[in-house]
Amino acid sequence: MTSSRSGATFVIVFAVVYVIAVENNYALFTYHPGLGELGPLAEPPRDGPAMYWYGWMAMAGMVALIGSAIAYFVPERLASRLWSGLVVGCSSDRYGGFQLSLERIFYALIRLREITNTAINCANK
Amino acid sequence: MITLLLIIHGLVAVALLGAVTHQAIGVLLPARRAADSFVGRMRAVSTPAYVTAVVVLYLATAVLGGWIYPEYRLGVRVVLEQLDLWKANGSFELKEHFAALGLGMLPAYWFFWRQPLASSYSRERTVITATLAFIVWWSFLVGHVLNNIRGFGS
Repeated sequence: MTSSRSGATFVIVFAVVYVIAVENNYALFTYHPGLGELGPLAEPPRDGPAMYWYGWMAMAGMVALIGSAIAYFVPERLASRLWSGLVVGCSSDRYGGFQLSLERIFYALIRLREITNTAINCANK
Repeated sequence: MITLLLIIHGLVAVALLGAVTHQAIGVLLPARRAADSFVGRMRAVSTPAYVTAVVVLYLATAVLGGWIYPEYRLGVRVVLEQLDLWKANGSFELKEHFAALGLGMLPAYWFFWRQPLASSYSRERTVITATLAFIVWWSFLVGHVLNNIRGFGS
C-alpha cells in the first residue's frame, strides 16, 4: 500500500514541481551549450543561449523523490488525513501560463491520485 | 555524428510510437469478439505485453533526445526565432514539457500495468496509456516537422 502511495506521490509532485520550476525558472543547474559547461541553479546566458530544461527536470525529479520517500514512511492514519488536503491544494489553476492540454494532464494526475487513494482505502476495509 | 544520433532517435521513436499506439488502441477500443480484420486484430492485441517496451523505448528516446537537444538549441531554434516561426518554436517547447511530464508519469504507468492486472485500476490504465500515446504522437510529429523546417547540419 505504501509503495502505491509513494508512486502516486512521485508522479503528482513531479508534475507540480515541474510546472512551478518552468514558470519561475527554478533550475537545479544551467547548461551552456556554446561553452559545454554546467552552472549552478539558473544562470544568465554566457556566450550563447542558456539551457534550463535539464535543470527543471532535475529539480522536479529531486523533489518528487523526496516527496515519495516521505509518503512511503508516513503512517497510514496520518496519511489519510493529509492527502485529501494536498489534492484540494493542488487542484487550483494558478498555472494559467500553460495551455489547456498541460492543465488537463495535470488534473488527470490529481484525479488518478484520488482514485488510487480511494482504492487503497477500500482494500484496507 | 549528431545526424546519426538524430536518426537513431527517430527510429527508436517510431518503435515507441508503434508500441504505445497498439496498446492505446487495445485499451480504448478493446475487441469484443474474435478478430477477423486488420483493425480487429489491432484492437485484440495483448495490451500488457507492451508495457516493458514502452518504458524502455520512452527512456531511450528521451535520453537520445536530451543528448542532441543542445544542437537543436544552437542550430535550429536560433533560426526559428530569426525567421519569426513562433508556432514552430512554441510547438517544440510544448514537446519538451510534454516529454518531461511523460517521463514523470512512467512510474505510475508501470505501477498500474503491473501483473496481475487489478480490475479496479482499469480506468487508470486507460487514462495513463492514452495520455502517454498523445505525448508520444505530439513529440513525434513536432520533431518531424521541425526537422523538415531546419535539419541538423543544414
